[in-house]
Amino acid sequence: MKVNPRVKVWLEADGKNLMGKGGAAILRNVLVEGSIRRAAEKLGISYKYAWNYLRKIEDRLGEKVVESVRGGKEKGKTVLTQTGRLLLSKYSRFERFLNNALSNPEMWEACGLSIPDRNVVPGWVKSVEVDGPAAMVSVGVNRSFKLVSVISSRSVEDLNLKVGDKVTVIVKATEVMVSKEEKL
Amino acid sequence: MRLSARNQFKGRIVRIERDGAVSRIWVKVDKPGEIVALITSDAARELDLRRGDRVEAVFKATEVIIAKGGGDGG
Repeated sequence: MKVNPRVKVWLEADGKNLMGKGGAAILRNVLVEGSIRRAAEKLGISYKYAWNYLRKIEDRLGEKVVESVRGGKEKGKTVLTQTGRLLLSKYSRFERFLNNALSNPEMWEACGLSIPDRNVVPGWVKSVEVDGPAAMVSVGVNRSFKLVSVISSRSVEDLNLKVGDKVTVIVKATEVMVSKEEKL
Repeated sequence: MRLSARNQFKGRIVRIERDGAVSRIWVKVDKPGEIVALITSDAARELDLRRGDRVEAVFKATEVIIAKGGGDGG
């Protein structure tokens, strides 16, 4: 089984759900089609559903997101108000940013997730020597084996590292060198 | 040759896996177990690394990340 992380984006107003993927799709299609009815057709949803969705956004926000053009050449057309366009662009930007992040392996590394080729060893803190901006931390892995880590003093503070703490030590495989004695 | 690195572990190569430009070298160190190194295949060839070779796994202390708390750290 292949397990993949996924994210969902939605906008909230004062902690209340404003719009998610569906709402963004309705706004986007109204923008392109100039009509709620045609937008709904395009999305394969009922006009009533689309209309209610937009009403819900407007109620929560207290502002119009779509409006009908009253006169002129585009009479009868439905367009996004400035607020509607802002909402759509905010949603799209955020969604794009997350999708980029998801496809970026370095993001997952930053979260400490699914790093391929790494060494992970549990241990406990044997000593912490904070000296200026850097600190040297010894981590015991078993009675006769320890690893040495140099991290920023800030990290020691953030993690509240103390002697005896249970920790996990991670070393990326690309940082491990292999040395071999020359044959005599 | 003497190295400044704080982490140097003697051991024996138990497995080599070439993967294009890079090769994975599993070094069984006396304790606590295995360390995996991802090095260029060029380097692996140059050192003529083979299974059973006595080698040393070396990494600088600044490359050692410490995680605490959360799921399994305790």
